[in-house]
Amino acid sequence: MTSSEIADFLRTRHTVALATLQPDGAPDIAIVPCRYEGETLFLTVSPNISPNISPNISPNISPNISPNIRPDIRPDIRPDNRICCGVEVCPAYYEIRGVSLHGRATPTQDGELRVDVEHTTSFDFGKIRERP
Amino acid sequence: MPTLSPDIDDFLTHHTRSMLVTLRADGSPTVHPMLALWRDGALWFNTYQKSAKTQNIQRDPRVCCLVLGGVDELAPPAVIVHGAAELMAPGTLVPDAPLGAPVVRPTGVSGGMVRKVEDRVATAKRIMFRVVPARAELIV
Repeated sequence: MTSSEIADFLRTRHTVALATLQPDGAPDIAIVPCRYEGETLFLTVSPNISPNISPNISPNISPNISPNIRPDIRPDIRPDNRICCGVEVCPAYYEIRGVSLHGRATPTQDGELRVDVEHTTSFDFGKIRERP
Repeated sequence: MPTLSPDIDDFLTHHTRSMLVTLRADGSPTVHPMLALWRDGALWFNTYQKSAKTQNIQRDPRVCCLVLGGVDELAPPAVIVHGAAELMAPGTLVPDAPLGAPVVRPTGVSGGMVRKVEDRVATAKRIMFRVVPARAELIV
């Protein structure tokens, strides 16, 4: 996908598969609400997190996940805030489209997590089909 | 291997859409949308022998996987599986579904596509790997 196609795609999404690291370095995954605004992906976290949290101490925060998605899981970014967000739709094989965003999760003053993207990959199987 | 609840077993039997997480060389996580088949107590995947997934698993087999219903928004119900990925010997194919069990295939995946994958597995261009759950949970 082009960068504008990726942005358009992300604007239509409301959740991501958030991959994080456990303290022992093993991977973990959760479904997390998201919003894409101004070329930035924000992961929505529980509003009961203090709005006074300083981003400077953000790596020490374990955010809650919105209760309507995953009330029992709190992805822990304390040991390592490197993450990957996977977003995909697959109505049919040649309609599979998706994006993976690699980067770091940084809590904002509003209690969300901002995804500071370092690398993006995308795929659109419809384009594979169109290849001669 | 832990005994999975009937709910989890039933969900994995009927759904193939998944997001697999492997670890890159620097230890960071990476997400791969995959098709996962539940056979004989394991999730089975296939990929190219030279893919990043294969290299990641060879380096560190620790993975987790989100198996989803639906075809659009990522949302519960879903199952999360944690475990170690095991690369199968070249030429190994996914076991057949038990007699009477549903053969779940995503929309638009034809028999011809399946045969092409099997041919590529037979020639070791593609390889199968499986994940036996060390733990699994159903998200509702």
